[in-house]
Amino acid sequence: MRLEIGEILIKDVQFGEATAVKNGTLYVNQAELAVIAGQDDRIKSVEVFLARPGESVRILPVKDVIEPRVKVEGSGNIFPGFIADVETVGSGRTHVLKGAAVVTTGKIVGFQEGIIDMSGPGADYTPFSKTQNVVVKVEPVDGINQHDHEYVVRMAGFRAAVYLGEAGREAKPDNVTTYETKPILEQAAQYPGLPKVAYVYMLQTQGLLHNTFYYGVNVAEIVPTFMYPTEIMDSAIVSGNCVSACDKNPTYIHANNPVIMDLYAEHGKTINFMGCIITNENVTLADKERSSNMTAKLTGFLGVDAVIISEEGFGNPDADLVMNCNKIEAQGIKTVLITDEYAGQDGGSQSLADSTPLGNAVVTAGNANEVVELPAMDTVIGYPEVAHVIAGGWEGSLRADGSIEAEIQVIIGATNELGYGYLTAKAV
Amino acid sequence: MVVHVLITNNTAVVAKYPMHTRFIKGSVSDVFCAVRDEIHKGATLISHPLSGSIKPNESPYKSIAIAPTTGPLEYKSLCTIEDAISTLARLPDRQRSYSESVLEDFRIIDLDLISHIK
Repeated sequence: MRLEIGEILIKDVQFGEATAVKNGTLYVNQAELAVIAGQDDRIKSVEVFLARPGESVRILPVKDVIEPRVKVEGSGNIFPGFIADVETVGSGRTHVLKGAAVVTTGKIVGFQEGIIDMSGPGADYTPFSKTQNVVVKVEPVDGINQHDHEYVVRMAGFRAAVYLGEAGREAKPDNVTTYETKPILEQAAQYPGLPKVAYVYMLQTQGLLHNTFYYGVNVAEIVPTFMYPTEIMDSAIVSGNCVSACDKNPTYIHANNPVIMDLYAEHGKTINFMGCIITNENVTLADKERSSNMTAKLTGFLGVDAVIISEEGFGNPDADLVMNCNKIEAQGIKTVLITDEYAGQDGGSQSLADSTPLGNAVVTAGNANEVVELPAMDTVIGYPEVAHVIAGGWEGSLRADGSIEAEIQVIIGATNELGYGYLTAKAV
Repeated sequence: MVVHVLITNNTAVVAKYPMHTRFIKGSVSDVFCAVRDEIHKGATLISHPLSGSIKPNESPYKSIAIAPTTGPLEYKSLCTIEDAISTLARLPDRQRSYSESVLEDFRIIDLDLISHIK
């Protein structure tokens, strides 16, 4: 499967009469976007705001972040199973408004969704302080239940992203990169002297507000399966995960998964990147055993020498991570694990809820319990009062002057376990 | 087949599965300890006690499915629940004076997660 990604670099976003890209600026017809995003009887109102890097703006609570993309050649369309039909994606050509993002906000539930600060110390922790953000605030009708509420806000974001992505259909990309993964036997034969590496992509799938979807299917309901890496670039995987802002994977990050990008960067140089195995993180121990058994079986079936395993979330997914590690290593296949830590505010506590001596190559995305002070912003898009109840905050987190003291787990993407963040370690 | 028992402090779970619950009037820690006690009597864990991404020090509710078997101690279940108790103990108390609507959301999410058990 071969996909060209054409990036149209977006350096500014403005409201305008027609939605279009001109000289690196994304112009957005505010009213038209609100109408399209709001095409659901269960939505009472939609408001559209802009938030640019460096502005004194806080977005809170953030449900999802989505990158505008449009399919210009090849089968299928963006968001298969949701906006498009379920035709297979990941080949042909896709244009990306690189530098732009749709951010959805609204009270999905009374807690959990996180913060994006466009300036100040909080901006250093989130990748979405650097994007030109089109913020879609969705208010559902009264009395909507929690399941429908999550669904309608999720879909409003996808509709908004598709609408904006269309502005890139006829634009000339600033750069084009080709990504290709061949069928298994051909791929193995292409670089016979290089170690064969696969990627085990763990997805949060435990229920309401904890879901991830593949071609519209809740990944909780699948057994682990193979995926061409390019499928994610057409948003075959989308987030319905509202929980744990710092280490959930927004739809934007799925489409830009840095593990896949880095594996492609080394493809044909130091490794032979064989493809992805997607797997789930379920509630029952039997499901965890089954999925890790299947995942390990697929790595053996692929005949790879090593795998990268990324986790999503904390707590019981640590058990999935450990099971995957143990069972894959037992086949003589080396593993590298990517996780984050909840090591207490002083960093001194045990980081994970489970562990294994075979997990001897682990990358951390940071300690989610680290405390940060976020100064007041001139503008807050959303509902500032939820700072009191979101995960990582506490009673009194939101001060009278509008500043917030909280753990960095309140910040979207702060300890993203795909590595799409800014935290790093330096030897001293 | 052994029918699962849900050990829970969540009234929404009791309302939906009245025949399959053992209600614990208490905290998440009390639920964990009740599950641990059942495991010592021979029960096995069905659901992971740290299910969900909402940390156990933040949600006031927790439901855990067990198979109420009797017999020799199932060591793996015991390790899992003891690890969960230890994880909860090292997390700072973050429960706040949540509004009723927030509490309702916590109850519905806990119910949804446990409802996926076949």
